[in-house]
Amino acid sequence: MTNSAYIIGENIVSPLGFTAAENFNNVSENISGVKTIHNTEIIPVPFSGARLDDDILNQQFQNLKAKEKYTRLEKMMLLSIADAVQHSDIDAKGNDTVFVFSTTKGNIDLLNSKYKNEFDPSRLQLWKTAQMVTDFFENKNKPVVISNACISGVVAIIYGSELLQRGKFKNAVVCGMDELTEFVVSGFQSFLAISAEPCKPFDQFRTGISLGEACATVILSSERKKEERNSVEIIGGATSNDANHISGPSRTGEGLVKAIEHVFSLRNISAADIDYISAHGTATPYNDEMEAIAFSRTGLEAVSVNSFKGYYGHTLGAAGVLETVLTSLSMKNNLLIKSLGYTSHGVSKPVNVIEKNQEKEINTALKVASGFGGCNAAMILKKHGH
Amino acid sequence: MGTENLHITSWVMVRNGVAVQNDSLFLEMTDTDPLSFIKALYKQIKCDYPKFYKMDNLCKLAFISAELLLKNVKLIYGSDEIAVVLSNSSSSFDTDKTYYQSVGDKSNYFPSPAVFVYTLPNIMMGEICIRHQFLGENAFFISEVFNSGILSDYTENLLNSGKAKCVITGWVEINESGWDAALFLIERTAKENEEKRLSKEHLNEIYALKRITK
Repeated sequence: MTNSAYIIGENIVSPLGFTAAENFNNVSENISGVKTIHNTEIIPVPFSGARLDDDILNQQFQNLKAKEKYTRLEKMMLLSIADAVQHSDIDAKGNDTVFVFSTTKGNIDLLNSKYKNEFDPSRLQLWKTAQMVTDFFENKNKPVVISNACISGVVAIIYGSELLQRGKFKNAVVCGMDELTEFVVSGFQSFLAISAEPCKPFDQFRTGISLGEACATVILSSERKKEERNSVEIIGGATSNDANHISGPSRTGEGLVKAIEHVFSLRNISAADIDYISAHGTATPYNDEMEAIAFSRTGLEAVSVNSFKGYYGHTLGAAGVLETVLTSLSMKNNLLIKSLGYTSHGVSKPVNVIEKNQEKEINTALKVASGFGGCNAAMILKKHGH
Repeated sequence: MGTENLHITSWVMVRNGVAVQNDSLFLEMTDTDPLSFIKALYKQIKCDYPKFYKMDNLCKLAFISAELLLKNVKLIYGSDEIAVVLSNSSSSFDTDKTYYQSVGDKSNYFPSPAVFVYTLPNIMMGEICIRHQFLGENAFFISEVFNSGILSDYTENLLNSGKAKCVITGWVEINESGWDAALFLIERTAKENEEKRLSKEHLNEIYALKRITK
């Protein structure tokens, strides 16, 4: 491994804005996009979630002057990537740029018969969505799609960063996306996993997840931006499987412990080096408990930790990329963001949940994620001064 | 580091009523549907794993293929040194359609968590990891057709970077044209064997069934 992988551009398209800066400003002011949604087209009962307004999305999308017809999710992707590319100054068409996508369900909403005459059924295929979006940017390399439940976004960034580290490409456009659909909401509702009120990660009175939707993009490059005072680098990542249960995390946190320990040893990092953890923090009883145990077992119980799910809900395949963008901006701004929804300690191990925004030098951060199928991921971000 | 000493040490194909294990035919049935064939394989392998019957079709196919792949193999690695990296084209679309039928019609609404959980393709890797207690790396790739380039490159990196010592990789797909599984066991072996060396060309040859000898 010789080259580096710096984040040189980022974007978030979400209910909290259409740029990374707008999203970070809202999150810094502890503003949440999660609301109670009454929409019987999604599920028969009200639920807590964060959904992007269609009119605002379509209005923004007009700026791109796209010639073809795109689905709602694809519009979010095109907007997100176009903005991130613009800020990074990379040549998106270049042979040395690769597109990597992470999603769980892509255009799954097209199963609804109301879209029958609007889009070809092939649009339901994740590779097709990726190809449509890559074609828009006229990039000729085959796009890569990762679909690994709720760790998809972190896996995609690890994959993209390793392609650069290994000298396979100069730039990687990593885009994570998932939509709030009747498919997904009904499924989590059938698990009785959705909270009636905005989710409360790590809180004593947490009652489950809020769902959300977003598209987030990071542009990784082996060359850092010259004019930037601080650059954030992805220095490594690892994944693991719990081998325990397909729809619930391990009680002992074993899988997440393995992923964290593995990335620590691969990159010669210790718990003492970590200034901040961006947790998965879905606010289900089992997930948060599992994470607390894993942090405790890896010597991270005193490290400042938050979950961004209180601001966005769980955005599934987008979450890892979305939260990496926010982690990177937290590092550049030296700002620990309040973990929204947390008021009283609700897990069996000590966890240093961020209760209000706090200025702090953040040089090294840990991003973790866990998901259905027993999968876990851990990734390290490092800030470099000029 | 390149692919020196990284070898395809075992492989299986399950497709169109034919199961092939390392160059030889393991089971062939004509005029059978894919599910009956998978169940016949389950019996033939003498598998005893009641959870198999709860799985969706895609996981049943992946599970049986992994059973066949590992049937006569002794893995000498730590549980966290064994990675599973799979891929397909249609994700979990086979079960997605089934699940959507239970929610699309609001007058006949009965979403089931037991079905919903299978609407993610990486659940296949979860089932294989649970069965064999593999705790190592996981990644699931989607590509239009079998993409040996990504699998070969990703596996090489896992083995050369110290992330894994053994990788189970391959393709498990169900679509309207049939069921198709190809799994490969990749390990570092001391003795160089050019025929079995990890490469996208070798994965393609095996996938195209060009190596059956009997």
